[in-house]
Amino acid sequence: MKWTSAFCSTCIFLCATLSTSQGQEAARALRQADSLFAGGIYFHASIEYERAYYLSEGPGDRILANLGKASALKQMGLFDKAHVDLQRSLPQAPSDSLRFALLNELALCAYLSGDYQTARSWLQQIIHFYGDNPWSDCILLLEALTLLQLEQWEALAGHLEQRAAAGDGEAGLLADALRDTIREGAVPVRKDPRRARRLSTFLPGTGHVWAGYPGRGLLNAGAQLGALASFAWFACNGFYVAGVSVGLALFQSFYFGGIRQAGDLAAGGSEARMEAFKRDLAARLFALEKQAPAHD
Amino acid sequence: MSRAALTFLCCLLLCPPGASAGSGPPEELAFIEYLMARGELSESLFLLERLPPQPKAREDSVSFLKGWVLYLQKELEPSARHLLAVSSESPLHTRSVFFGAYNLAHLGRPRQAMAILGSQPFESGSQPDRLRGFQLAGMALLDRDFDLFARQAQALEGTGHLMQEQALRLKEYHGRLLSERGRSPLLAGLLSAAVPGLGKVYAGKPAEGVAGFLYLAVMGATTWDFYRGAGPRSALFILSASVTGIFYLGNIAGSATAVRRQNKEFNHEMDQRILFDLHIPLRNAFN
Repeated sequence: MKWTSAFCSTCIFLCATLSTSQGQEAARALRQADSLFAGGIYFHASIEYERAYYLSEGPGDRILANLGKASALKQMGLFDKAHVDLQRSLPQAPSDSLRFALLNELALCAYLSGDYQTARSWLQQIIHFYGDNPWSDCILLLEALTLLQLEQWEALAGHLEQRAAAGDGEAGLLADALRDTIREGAVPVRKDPRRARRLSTFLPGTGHVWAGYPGRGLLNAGAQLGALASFAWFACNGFYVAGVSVGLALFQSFYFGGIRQAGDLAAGGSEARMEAFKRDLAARLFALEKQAPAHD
Repeated sequence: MSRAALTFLCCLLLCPPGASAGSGPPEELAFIEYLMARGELSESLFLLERLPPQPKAREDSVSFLKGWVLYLQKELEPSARHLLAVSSESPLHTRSVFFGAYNLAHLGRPRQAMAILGSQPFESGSQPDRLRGFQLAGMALLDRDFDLFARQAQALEGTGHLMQEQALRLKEYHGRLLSERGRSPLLAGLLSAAVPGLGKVYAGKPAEGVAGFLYLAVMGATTWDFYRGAGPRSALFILSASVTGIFYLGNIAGSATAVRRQNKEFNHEMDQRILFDLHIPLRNAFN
């Protein structure tokens, strides 16, 4: 009887131990992943984080593993993959802090992968659920940068004014500067390539000038005039066929090429100006973040 | 007896947890399969490469998984190597042989693929045997061995629903390959020498042929204009005639190249269609 009860107790203890061994394996995988991450071996770390996710029994442990994996993927520049990977954890977040961490990471990964509209949507969820919570202070920079990339200038100015109202004087100065830029019409606008092409169709070179490239406009108009002059010269000297095949062929080549070029310059030039404007404003937002008190 | 059982269980308890779950080879293979199901192929391959030497039966599974991951990554050469390394004792052998041979066919080595498939001892009339007959017929077409295709075509008759549609298409490709036995680049060049652009029409590019003809006609007329107005020694005539001559020769060379390109494109398209139709029954049979 004594041996039977000892046997049963051992069996119960053994079952309990084996059931927790998977949890221990998950913890071990997580430790190994952290160590690999610290050593800069991100690819292997991402696999071990996935193993920790696979072996973990509780949603909290899984989310921690998933967040670790997202960090490793971000280090490898795989922002889109990290964004897709994190979404599986959102429905199982057991606490507000983990849900906030996930939303924050999702917004950051979406932003880094260039999907600004999705980043904005994650940020709006954070503001909706945790707007009154001091945690949400750490998304201020990301929110401003997302508005900047979405070219929502009024919303960005409003965001900066809110920060100014909360006591950030530098943000107020930047908001004023942005408002002035908007008022003066100095914010770059994307020029319509179709309009540039239409202008060059009716008056050669004007599409280039409208797109902001007057030199190239003059050069194209001059080339077209030169081609017409060569046609006239050939015709005056009795070379009628050559006049058509050389002079007019050159003219049509410069004419249609000029129309196409005006459209390309309008598209590319305004894009370059917009990017420069965004770069400058982003640098000022980063400077603002550095001056602000550290967020928890 | 009870004391022995208790001692055994206590020994088990004292074992480190890693030995009982998580990192052992079967668990590792299960984790690798989980990664594969998630589409994390590079990660799966990384773990497969790190596995220590396994017992024979498990080594076959590892070879198969490596070959399959590489196949999904479209790394066909190493995939074929790993798939064909699966031993005949393995239940994965038939699948590995078919996909390994298919990879070789895709790599432009249909003869090697046919030799591997032909050496398999499949039971006559069984599904693998019928599938092999179909694959051999398709690979004979890839090799442009029409006699072998004619011999294998009998196997296409009894292919069943699994590959009936594809068998009909193989016959159609056979007909097309026979009717379009390559055009001659030399003839294309001669045609373009006689009438500029005609070689390109012969190559199956009528628009390019007409455009080439019009260009050369205009250039010829311009040269004639300079000859008539300025004389044969004038710089304008010499320049125009030289440019026209260069374009004329270029048109001849271009026609020959167009025929070669057209032949290559046709063969490539046929190969892709054949490979596609060889692949569908494989996926249906083994998935």
